[in-house]
Amino acid sequence: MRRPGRIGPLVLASALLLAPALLPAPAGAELAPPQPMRPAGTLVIATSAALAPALRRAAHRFEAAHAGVHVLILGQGSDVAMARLYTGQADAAVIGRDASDNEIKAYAWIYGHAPQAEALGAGSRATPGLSPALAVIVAARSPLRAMTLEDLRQALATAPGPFHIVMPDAQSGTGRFLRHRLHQDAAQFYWPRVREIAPPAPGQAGRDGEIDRAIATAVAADPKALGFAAAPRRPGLRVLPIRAGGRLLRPADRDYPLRRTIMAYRPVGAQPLLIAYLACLRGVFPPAS
Amino acid sequence: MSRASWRRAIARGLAGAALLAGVAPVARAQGAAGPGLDPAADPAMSATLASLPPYQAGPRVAGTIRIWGHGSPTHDFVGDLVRRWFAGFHRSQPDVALDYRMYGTASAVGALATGAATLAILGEEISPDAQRLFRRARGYAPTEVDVANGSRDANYFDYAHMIFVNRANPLTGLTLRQLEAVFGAEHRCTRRNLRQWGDLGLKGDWARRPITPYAWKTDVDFALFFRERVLCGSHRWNPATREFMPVTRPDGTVVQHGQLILEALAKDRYGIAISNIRFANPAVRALPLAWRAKGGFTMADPASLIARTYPLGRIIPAYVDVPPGGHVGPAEREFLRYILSREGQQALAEASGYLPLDRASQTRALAVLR
Repeated sequence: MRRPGRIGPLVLASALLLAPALLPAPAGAELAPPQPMRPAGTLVIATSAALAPALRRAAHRFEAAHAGVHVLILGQGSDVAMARLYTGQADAAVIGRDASDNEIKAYAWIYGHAPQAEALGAGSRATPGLSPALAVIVAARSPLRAMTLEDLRQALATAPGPFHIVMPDAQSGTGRFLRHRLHQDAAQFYWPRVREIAPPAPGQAGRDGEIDRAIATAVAADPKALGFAAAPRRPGLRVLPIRAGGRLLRPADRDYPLRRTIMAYRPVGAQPLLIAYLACLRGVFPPAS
Repeated sequence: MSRASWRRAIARGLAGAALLAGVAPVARAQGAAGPGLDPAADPAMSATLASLPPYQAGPRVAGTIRIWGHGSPTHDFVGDLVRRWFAGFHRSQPDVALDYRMYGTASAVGALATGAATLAILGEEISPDAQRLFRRARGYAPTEVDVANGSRDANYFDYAHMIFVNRANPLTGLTLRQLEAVFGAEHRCTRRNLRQWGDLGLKGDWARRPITPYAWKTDVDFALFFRERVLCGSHRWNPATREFMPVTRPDGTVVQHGQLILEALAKDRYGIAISNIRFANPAVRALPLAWRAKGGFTMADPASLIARTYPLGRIIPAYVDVPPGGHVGPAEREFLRYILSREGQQALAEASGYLPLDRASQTRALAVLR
């Protein structure tokens, strides 16, 4: 087998001359997906900066158990991870949220089908950056004791109502998660009641923690406030349990409805080595519900 | 792959440019031509094209342009256009190859941000998510070069947004700021929300009637343009807005949201809607719009869209990766110069549904490349 780089100058010149005529090819032909060009035994996993350390530790263990295997972890962000997956530069994307509709569309329009989605485990209970469960928080003096998901949806969307909502930006990853779980992905809230805390620009340190702290501060000062944030440990606040199926569920509970999931996205029919590495990641995160 | 099979691949027209880029052979999606216009038949278009300077080749450059962008699994919207662009360009710049990867706008900026692409040509304005992605990956913003104006009403060619009222409604026109006050909830660029027809100057029975807005689903790509252009970047739409998505019928045919919106408006005397003239019905009427109260009110037509006097016309951008203090890659720069030339814009008018740039827009775009 000859590599393209060893093709003679005549063929290369022909390719140059033919190039204009090649676009587009005959009707009905399909645009081929990008082909990964990585040495055998190398896995490239794209992820967020927050998840990267855990994935690197797992990679070291995996390399120790599999001679000749190298696992490269790229931790630039979940959106960049998905871009590396659909451009063929990563074997899998491991992210602390569901892929967005546009990310799935980008992949599907290249490969002809959606990527294989796999839940690796639950996000953290309350660690900023590690997909913390969203707690429903109120001021300590609030009379509220528990709410159902439907109560929460109505608090966000229905006018009039007694609450002041404080939440992450509705278009942020956390905001989308909240809209997905509470509001059937709808984008419309009763805005006069909603205060959103906007994320800082990409690259600014401590972003998730800052948003949670800002929400907690606003809620602690307002007995009518209802906040959504990673469960903060600070005086003046209470975490409301969510009532579901006759039970009161809290962020640490496995089936708490606002708990998040660490997801892996990979090609359908991925190589066994990748499947094995992703399987070893299941031990890194708490089990998903 | 053997030398002979590479030769066969090249002869079949499948491998050439990709081979040069060191990537897998590239086949092309179906070459569905765009609804090419006859520039000579439209005075605005022919005058615009005649005003543009022809391409003057710069220094000879070499390399492979890896282009990602507007396309889909079923329609190769711009294949014919890109072929014409590249064929014309290649006569002056024979050492440049093209790796064509127009999989769709959704993957284009991600490809540029991760280095898979060296040039992204989108099918619509860049989304905030795509901007964030690029900034996170590279630490700076992508460099934008406008290459076309969106169409008036051609499907898949970024048609203009238009504002409709029920035909019974006597309103004569709206400014961009009035639109923000009607469709938005945050009035970032104006003083207050407008919620009754009397707020827009209508008298009598109309005055106290609430305005019901109709729109595309407010957080999908289709609505992002309106959000950026009209709502000053706010995602807080008027909570009374009725949102529509395309509907697939049991027989598999798709009814576009633009049509559903105007069908609903036809039944609502007090509604106002975002849609496009391609979906109009006899019971609705498009409104003239103005950038500001003192400006002229205009309908969307080729002349107003090319001159950008109509405020809801679309702009088709290309993006390149230029680090701070750096320069556009020489091959990409030269190719973009060709696209912006009279020849490039003539091809665009003939082989796509887009409208060409006028001289002022072309000058601004060329300035980015210097």
